Amino acid sequence: MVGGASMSFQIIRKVSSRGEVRERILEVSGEILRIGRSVSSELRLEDLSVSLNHAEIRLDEQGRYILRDTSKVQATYVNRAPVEEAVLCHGDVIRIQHYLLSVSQPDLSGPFVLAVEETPRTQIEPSLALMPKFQLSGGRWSKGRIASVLTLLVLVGSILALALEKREVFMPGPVSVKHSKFAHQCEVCHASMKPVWNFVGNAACQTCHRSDILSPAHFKQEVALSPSPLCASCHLEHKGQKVLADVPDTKCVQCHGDLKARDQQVPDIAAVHSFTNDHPEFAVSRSRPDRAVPLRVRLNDKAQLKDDGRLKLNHALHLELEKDYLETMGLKPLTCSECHRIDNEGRNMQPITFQRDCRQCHAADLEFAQLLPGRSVTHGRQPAAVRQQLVEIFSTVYLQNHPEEAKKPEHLRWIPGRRLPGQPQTEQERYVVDRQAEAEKILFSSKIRRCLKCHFAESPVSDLPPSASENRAMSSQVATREKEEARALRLAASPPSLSPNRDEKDVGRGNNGTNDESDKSGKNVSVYPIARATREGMDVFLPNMITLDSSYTSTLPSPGLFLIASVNVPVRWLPYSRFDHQAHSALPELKAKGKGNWCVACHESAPASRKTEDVLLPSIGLCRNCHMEPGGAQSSCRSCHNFHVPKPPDPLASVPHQSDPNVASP
Amino acid sequence: MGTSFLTYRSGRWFWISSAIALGLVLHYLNYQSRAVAYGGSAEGLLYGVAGTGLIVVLMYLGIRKRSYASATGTLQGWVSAHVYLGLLTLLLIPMHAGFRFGWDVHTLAFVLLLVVILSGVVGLFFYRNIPARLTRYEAGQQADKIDPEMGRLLSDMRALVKDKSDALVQIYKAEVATLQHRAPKGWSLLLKGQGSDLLALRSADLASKVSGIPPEDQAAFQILSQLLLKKAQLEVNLLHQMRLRNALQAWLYVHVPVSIAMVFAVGLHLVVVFIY
Repeated sequence: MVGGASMSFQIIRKVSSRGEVRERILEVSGEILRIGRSVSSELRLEDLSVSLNHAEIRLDEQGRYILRDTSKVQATYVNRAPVEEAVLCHGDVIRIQHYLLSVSQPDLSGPFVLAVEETPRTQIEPSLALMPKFQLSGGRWSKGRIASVLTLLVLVGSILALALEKREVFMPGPVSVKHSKFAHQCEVCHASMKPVWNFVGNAACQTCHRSDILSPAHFKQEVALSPSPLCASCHLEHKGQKVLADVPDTKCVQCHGDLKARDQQVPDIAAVHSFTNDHPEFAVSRSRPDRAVPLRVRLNDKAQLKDDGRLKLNHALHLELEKDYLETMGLKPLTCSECHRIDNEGRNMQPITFQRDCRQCHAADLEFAQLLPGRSVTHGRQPAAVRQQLVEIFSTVYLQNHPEEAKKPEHLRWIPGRRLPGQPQTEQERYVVDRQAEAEKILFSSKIRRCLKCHFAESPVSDLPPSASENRAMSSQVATREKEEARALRLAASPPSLSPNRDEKDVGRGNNGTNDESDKSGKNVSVYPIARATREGMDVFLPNMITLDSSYTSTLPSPGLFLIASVNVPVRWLPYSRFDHQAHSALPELKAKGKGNWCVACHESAPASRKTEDVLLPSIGLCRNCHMEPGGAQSSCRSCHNFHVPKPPDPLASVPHQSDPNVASP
Repeated sequence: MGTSFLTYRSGRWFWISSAIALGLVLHYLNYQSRAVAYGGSAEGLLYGVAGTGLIVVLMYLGIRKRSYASATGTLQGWVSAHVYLGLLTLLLIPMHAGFRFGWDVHTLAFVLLLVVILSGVVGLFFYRNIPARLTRYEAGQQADKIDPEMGRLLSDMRALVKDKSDALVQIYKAEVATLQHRAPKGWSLLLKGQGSDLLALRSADLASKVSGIPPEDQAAFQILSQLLLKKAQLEVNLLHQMRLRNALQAWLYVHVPVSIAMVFAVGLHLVVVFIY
């Protein structure tokens, strides 16, 4: 209360209702009048542009009415001038947004009167309006026009690419390196339009590629999927592969992950998804007497795993030979590489041959020095042929020691092997037969162990079922058996001396000590026609395995002796696989094993192996030490397996190809 | 408080899209482990068909948002689905291609899709952040009311200077001329400054003119200065607001046209792959 002045405000508002403008008077008591949009304001201005608490009018101690702007960010005008605080006088006009508040106080003791008027909204001249000028406008570049231009660019670009023969822009991916030469000629492969889910047909591939490699080898084996997949289903073109031959493992796993699901007729083959995780143990092939298909034996199947080779090979003995013993022979201690040599391609091991790998130590086993120093028989011949060679050797020696024989008249001259029926045995013949028998005792004895140090003897005829090795020999050489029989028959029917050319040849070999018939002929079994021999009254050995000392006599009437069993040393244990011995030998950790003995790092059991039947291949677990995913050496399917093999390898092959003169049988 | 389209119905489309994405990833991992992934394989075609379907659904938003009478779900739901399903294509299409790209029309279609999605993400970012900032500026004055307010200020200035010296009239006329010749600057607003220094410039300008004002008009000049500065404040406020409002619009100049070009490129891709 100040000076007895009234402390009330009177607000006069013009209200428009039903076309009529009426005045509404509002009395407000108190010392302060709050103006704003808030419902607590005594003078409420509803427009949203007005602040909640826009301004207030207060009566001060001097009796003046003070207007104070409380909006902070907006403005309150008094007589067109923006003010923060102003003393109101009669006749002043307050403007808050588009509200005009006319001040009047007719009586100083009366209420402070505010006439509120809402002015029509001012429309600024369009040229002065700023908002349209600040608004985002594409002008010519409306969204629709931009879209049209972009679309047109894509279209024109595509047409240009077609016109400029840049067809790679339409390809779903670059072509492989080899096909890039005709990458722009789609029609070379895509002769006709096909749905996207169809592969290019094989005919397109066979235009350039030989058709004989197109039939996958292993589909011809035990697994027969029908139909065979198209070339393009595995060799994925336009899919980012630079070399199409690099078929990813996933393509192999597509079938081998679950072969049964692909075809119920396939045999039970373990599911494979990766080498690291679930690849089965390696398997080798063994022949089965009752089945045409060889038996697959995994390396972890100790009961079935057996080397069917018929060579008495003792790895441990070879590696443990006494140093002194070797020095007497002028040799250093034996290492693996003394016998096992990598082939010219640096991948596989060459087949062991007597001439190259064994002769250096075993040359004396072909000799009969007690009888005739410096002479030896040819390695690789069957006993019957050895007997023949001995006759030739001793006949030659006799003639060399008796030069008077050459001076005799021709009708009196002794010709080895020639004796007329009914005539008694001559002195010369006795000399030859006696020494031949003595030599045979040395060579064929199981006690002295020359031939039988390494080889098994077997009867040409057996009542027992054929052993695995026999079966292998028979199955692999059935085609050559008839020829061998015919040859043996000719030998048996004609005296040795009646084959002068052959005599000279064989004797010559025997004399110079370098002959190895098996190495030259590629045959390690010759089957004497035992039935024919028996019919002709020949004396033959019948026991399956012969103890020569008990049965061998020098009076054997015919060349129908025992047989040296086929050695059947496999050429390759895993013929379908690819392995690089040379690359592995270069590994530092293997080199550390010492020159020649790096094999032992993988073939761990070799130094302790004393039996021929031991299979010395490393297990898959050992390979996985290095070949693993991720981060290890490569372990893709193709790093070991071949797919397109025009002529599948024989898993039981133990005889080198005859047409290759450099490779001979062990 | 209203619900954002991102959290529409407790994030229904977020969860649906996440579930689909998870399923897709698991399926793809399985698919890739047992086969070479590419667009023409059975799975690749499945992804392709699903991706094409998604693009159709995403493009339908342009029609749906203009169909006020449509009963096919709420617009907020459609926008929510548009956002999350749009992000899903970022996964689906590379899976269709086996994550292999090159310099070809097929990759062009994906690149355009990528531009559409990225512009959409930018738009999403703007819609999440700009409205709050815009509200702060609108507290000063809403943009659509700034021009009328400035009109009143000009009217006040004109009334103030009409019986004053030429110096004051010239100041008023110069202000009007400045407004009249102001060039459109919608796009440049996005890149350039926000005119924060406008007030300082105007103050300095007025301070330089005070000496040329006759003494009898100094009081009027002070009022005119206050009006001019008030107008400058409004102008700065408008600049801020319009910059933010323009940002809410600008991303659509990429999103919409590129999406149309992308649809054309997808069509081209389909034609090419089905020819060979």
